[in-house]
Amino acid sequence: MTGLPGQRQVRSGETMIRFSVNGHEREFAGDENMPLLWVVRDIFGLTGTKFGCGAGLCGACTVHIDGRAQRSCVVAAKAAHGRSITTIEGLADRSMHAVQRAWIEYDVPQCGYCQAGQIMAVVDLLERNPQPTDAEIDASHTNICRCGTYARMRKAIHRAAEIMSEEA
Amino acid sequence: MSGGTRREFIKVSVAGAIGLCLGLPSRSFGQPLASVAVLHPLINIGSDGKVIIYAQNPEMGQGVKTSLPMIIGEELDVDWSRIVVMQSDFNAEFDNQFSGGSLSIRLNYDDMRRIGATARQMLVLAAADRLGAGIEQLRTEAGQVHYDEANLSLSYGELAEAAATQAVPDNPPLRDESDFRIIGTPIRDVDLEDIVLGRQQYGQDVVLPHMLVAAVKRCPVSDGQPESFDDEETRSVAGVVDVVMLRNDQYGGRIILPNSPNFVSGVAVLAEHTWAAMEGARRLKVNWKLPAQLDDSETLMAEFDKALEQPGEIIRDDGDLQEEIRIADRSIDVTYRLPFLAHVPMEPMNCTVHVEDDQITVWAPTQNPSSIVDALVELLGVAPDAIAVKVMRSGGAFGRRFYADFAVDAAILSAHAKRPVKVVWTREDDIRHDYFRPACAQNVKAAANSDGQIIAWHQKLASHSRMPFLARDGSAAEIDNYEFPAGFVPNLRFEYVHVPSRIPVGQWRAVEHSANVFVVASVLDELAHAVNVDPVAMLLRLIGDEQYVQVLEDFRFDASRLRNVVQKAAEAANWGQPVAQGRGKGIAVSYNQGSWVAEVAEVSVVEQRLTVHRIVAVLDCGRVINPSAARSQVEGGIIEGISATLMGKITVSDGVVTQSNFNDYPICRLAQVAEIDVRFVDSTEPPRGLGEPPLPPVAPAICNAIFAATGRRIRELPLNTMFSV
Repeated sequence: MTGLPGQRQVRSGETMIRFSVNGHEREFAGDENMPLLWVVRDIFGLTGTKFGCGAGLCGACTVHIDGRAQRSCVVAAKAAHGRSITTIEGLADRSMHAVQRAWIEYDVPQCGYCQAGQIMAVVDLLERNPQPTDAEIDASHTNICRCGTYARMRKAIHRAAEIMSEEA
Repeated sequence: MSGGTRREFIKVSVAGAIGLCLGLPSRSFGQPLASVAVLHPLINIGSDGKVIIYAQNPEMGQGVKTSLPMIIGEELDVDWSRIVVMQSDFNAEFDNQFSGGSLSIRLNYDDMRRIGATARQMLVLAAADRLGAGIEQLRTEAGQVHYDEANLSLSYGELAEAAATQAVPDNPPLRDESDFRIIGTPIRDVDLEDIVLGRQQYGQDVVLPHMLVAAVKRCPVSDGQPESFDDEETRSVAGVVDVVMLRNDQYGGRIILPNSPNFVSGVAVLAEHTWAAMEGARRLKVNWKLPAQLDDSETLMAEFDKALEQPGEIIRDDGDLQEEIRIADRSIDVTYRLPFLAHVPMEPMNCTVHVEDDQITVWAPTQNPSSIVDALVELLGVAPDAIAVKVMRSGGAFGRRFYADFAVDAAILSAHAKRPVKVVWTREDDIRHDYFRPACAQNVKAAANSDGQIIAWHQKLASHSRMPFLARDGSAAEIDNYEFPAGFVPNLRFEYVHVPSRIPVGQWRAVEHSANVFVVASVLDELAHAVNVDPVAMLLRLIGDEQYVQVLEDFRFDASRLRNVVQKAAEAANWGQPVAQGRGKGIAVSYNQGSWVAEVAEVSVVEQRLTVHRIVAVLDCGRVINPSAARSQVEGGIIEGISATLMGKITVSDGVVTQSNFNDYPICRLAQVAEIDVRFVDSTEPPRGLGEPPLPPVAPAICNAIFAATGRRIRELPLNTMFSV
């Protein structure tokens, strides 16, 4: 995978970092401390995962690593070695995920920039807690939305839970 | 028709605007490419019937990429499901291609209708020719022209080519407003699917061949300059290509043009990819030349207090203040203090520019593309028509992206590197190099009688105003002479004292209203409690029973619409019903950007823990174009107001902004937002502004509710210094 920005020949004594992204085997030979966010965006060209703060505070960069939501701006590439990564682009397979469908039903986004991260975080929440109460949602969903789509988001989370239980 | 829109039509049709439009997915194997007729720069119709409507104004989450095309589509008479919407690039021919001041719909409603109606009429004229009918024998319906008597019809697709060459009709008939089929219906955002699938492109996502990414280490003091730098460690970062000093004093100084601030000076690191650029910038060592005097926001607040003791510029002066205050039953003398606030749009600032020999192309998440063109013309001496601005969807803006500063340094770097350059800002850059909502101190001496009549009002503001800071003409005052309650209180004075500072300030959502409405609505509540009158009753008494109040010679204020929103908000909030222990309700009203708003907050304070339980908002903004997007705007404005009220504060010390990221400039989360109940007054009046009006009343509604719940009066923000939130 040389020739891409940030990629270079692996020097002796170095490791090639290998992981799967959205079901495809990928490898990365660059700065092993580069946050996974930038590997995904700049090296693999998957720009659906967003940069918001670089400090793990806002959640715009949320991906799934081995099925669990993580903020990729504070995960070093080397920590992803051997793992399975899912980004927003890999969430839907033949049809959209229930969370994506609920988001559409409620016309949730305003600017939309935080929404990929919101959706990835909510998917993880609902996989662990299929029927969360408002208090449970409050406690676990801490992604920032600067435009203020929280009112609709709350409704869409409950709706997604409903869809998922109907389709279970 | 306004001069602008007719001019656009004539230019297009005289040029014989039929052409192949490359890039349209209208081809299948073995079939000829559909030809596309450009009836107007905002309307393309393909021979296959595909209708492309361009969104004139920049989209930043306020929904105008959907609502402006809705208006065109309505008058064009096409099914919304058949329309493809695309973002228009900057076009110097357009009159109002900016998003700000809650003006996108207000300024463009009539023009968008006429554009749609004119294109429809041109299709009818083409059909009349082809069918040998008189215009009066034809009607349109959802993309077809019907000649009922002859049982014939033609589709817009079949007519488009001929329509594009018709003479532009002068006064095309508009659809009767009672017959609207698209306007007034909730339409989902046109980019919704792309957004939830992660396909929506923002400025941050632009990738071009041979592009370099740049991160700029900027002077922590906004008007300092880099003198020298040590890039040894920077260049050891793999992927770093170049290090370039950027001095704004070599490019016009701090202000490019009135209301157009320049980039903050620094040293740029250019690299193959973002991480290398950011890492490189982090490792750069720069020697800065700092100004002799360094600003401090706490010192500035103390200067505001002193300034309130000095005479100021009289903005408005009615009646006889001194006497009325002296003889009133109760008078109060209170001072409010408000902090600087940051914009922090979710997408940090960025811009991509490609400077070539004969062309500059800019990919900008911008609210105001013409400001970028003007800035590049001014600083780089290029001709305006050599500059193309691709307007990107913004990941939030709130006023920050109205300026060109974030595009200028990208252009300079691209010219230097002879490659496309994308400048990306970190969150720290964004907070530290913002143009803040100005801080202020406001003193109000006001008086009321025990029957609840307010008879005197003297409001004096001291602030560091954005007007002189941005070299704008006119008064520095951060208050206008028509702001409520001007015209309602017979003895009233607005006075303004300007205190200069170099802390960068600019327009934040709702501009001066974000501060002034907090003061006005809180003081009205203070007066009500001072004379033991219910706050809603006092407001209704102040507003009065007349329909109109002459606030200025040329401004007749419709007080009945203010009265209406107050009554409806009070009713919706069950005002006057007993509330649980520790709970309270507060009301605040505002007239801003042409719309009337009343909001009631219900809060509780339990052992210093503040919870905002419910906000009821009633708005009269005239005709609502897209109820779904409109509701979003109100919810969003309210949440932004809640966030600023609870936790927003920027401080500056030794010339440097203290805050840096969401840990010390927090934004509220889903847990802090309970119920928001939005109601629009059903109106067929022309549309008013909506983006900003919902924001200002939130802070005073919450603080008035805190008083009702606890007896504690809040005169300074944010609330997280006094309560746990």
